[in-house]
Amino acid sequence: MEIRKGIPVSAGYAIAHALVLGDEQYSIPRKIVNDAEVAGEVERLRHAKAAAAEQMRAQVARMPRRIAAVTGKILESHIAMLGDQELHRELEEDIRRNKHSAEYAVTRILNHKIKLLAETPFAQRFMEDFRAIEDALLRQLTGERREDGTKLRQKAVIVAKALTPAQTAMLDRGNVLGLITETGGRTSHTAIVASSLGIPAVVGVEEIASDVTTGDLLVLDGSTGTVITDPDEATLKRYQAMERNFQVMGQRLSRELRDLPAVTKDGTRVSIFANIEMPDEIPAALDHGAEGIGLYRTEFLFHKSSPTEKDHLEAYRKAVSLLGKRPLIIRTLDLGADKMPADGLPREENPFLGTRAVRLCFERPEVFKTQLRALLKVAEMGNVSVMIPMISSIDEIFKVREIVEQVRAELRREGETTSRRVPLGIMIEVPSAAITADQIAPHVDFFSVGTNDLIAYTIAVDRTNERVAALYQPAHPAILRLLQTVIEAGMRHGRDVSVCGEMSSDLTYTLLLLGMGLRTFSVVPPQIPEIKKVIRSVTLAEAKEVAAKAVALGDAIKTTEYLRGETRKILPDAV
Amino acid sequence: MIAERRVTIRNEKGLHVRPAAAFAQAAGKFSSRISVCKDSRIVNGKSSIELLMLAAEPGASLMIRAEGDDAETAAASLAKFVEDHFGMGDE
Repeated sequence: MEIRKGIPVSAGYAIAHALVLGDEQYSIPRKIVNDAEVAGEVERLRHAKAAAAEQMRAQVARMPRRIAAVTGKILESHIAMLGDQELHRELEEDIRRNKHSAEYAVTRILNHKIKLLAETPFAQRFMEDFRAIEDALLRQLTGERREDGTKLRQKAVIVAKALTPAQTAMLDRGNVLGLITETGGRTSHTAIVASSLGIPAVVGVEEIASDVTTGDLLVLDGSTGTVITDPDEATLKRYQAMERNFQVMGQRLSRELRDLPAVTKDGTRVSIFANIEMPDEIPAALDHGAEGIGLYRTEFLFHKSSPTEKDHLEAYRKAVSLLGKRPLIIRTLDLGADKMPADGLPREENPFLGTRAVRLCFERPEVFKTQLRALLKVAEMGNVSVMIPMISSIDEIFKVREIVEQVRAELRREGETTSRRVPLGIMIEVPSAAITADQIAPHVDFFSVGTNDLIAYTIAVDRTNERVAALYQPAHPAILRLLQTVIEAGMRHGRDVSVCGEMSSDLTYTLLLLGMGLRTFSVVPPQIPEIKKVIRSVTLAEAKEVAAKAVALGDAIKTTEYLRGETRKILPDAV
Repeated sequence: MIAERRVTIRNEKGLHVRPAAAFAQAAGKFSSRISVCKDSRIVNGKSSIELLMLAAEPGASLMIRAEGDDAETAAASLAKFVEDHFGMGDE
């Protein structure tokens, strides 16, 4: 037994066999093909390039947005490299002139380049990108699956020297019980992704990847940063008990609270909805106590170049059948033009301020109408509302309504029934919409505040840029003022207001939002029990007092500290 | 027609993966043949992989050479692209 210490970055226990990544290498033998086979090898190469690029594109589309912001860009560069004409010319020449098999050409040419890169310190950083290209092509050509953690046959703790952002994002969430790396710190990508997925993780464990082999039994304690290899019987028992305890506490809270309403001590009713990306997540969300779905992101459907009406309808029908009469808010396409599959749209200098979401829908009405047709059809079957992202002014709402009516008329002409009035709401994520929320309110059925983008646009900060990330502060006085403006506008006009951004999933802000008047939270499902617990532990007057004090502090850091203190009084280990 | 421009890499991380892809894409829009040269190495400016092989660190000096009908426009616009941090802000 050996006990090691690293940096704890994501709490929880894992006791499982290790899967060591990155210690295997493809070994491609030199293979000469005969003249008749040359054309076939070139064709295999072409096909492998296309398939590898397609797979990466699908990965980008499937990524949760906060991960895509960083790793999506890396993968997009790799896709561009796969399509490189010069590389293709070299590979094809190697096949034609030297009669090499496609896989041998790939490994030979790319390794030659990797060797050259290794000679210059500045260029060494590109070696891993070239390896990723080689790897993707060989995987297609050999049909071999090298273990990469994206699809595991059994549950395992992943051990690696380092995990690339793309690797971390693509891990098989169901079977990865923990992560251990040699490199990385508290703010590393592995740390951020692990804690957002709730996977226990320890980074900065020296030599772990070379000392451990796949199959070794490991104990990982993500709260203290302890990693134990080859644990003895007593240690194993102790940690098994601790792991059970940790899970039971979580489950007990969930079971106890699942069927209880989110209501303050003095009887104010609050609704808690879940955010999802796929209908498959609905059963777990309901199990955590969600009253419905407050945000169904539909971007996943767009990983195919353009989903058909049938693709949309199948997904939405499934969601409705799982939810019954419970509310389902479906958000229309929220991708930037830069995230849509290549289709000849001009590249934008600044996609974040460019043709995103509803703006893209206006530019590509056929894509928008296809989605709206499915939405109007499914609205006949369940409690469905439609939510439009990235609205910045009232005109856009009128324009959306006009398109909705066109689609409705079209459906009627085809003999479809579309009798139900479908509630139409908007995301508030652009400051101009937040500031004019009182003018917008009469024209929509509900607001949902997307705090992530609202914070980014208001403070003008990209939080994936480490140099300015510290400026990203949910408790910035400007953000609190905008939230107050939106909540009050909703109240005055009798429109429901929810917050579906990360801020509403963070327990730190539950009391603040409740005290400001928020009555609908839409959150990541595992957070529902604890948010409910906070709400059930206070009176509305107490929450209002906390909110007033928090706002009066007028300083993001002081406000956050104060809110954490107040939350800890209710849930000591929560924040 | 042949046009040439000498430029200096100004962005903090140098000619790394994303700028290389962006440059190759921008170069691809011109009909001219684009070569980029650093020290004694010359590569095809429409290939991001070749551009990476230049190992052009921040501060490195590059020669952009365009040959073809739109050579002048191509060289001028690509030089500006490099000086403007490859159109990607301060990454």
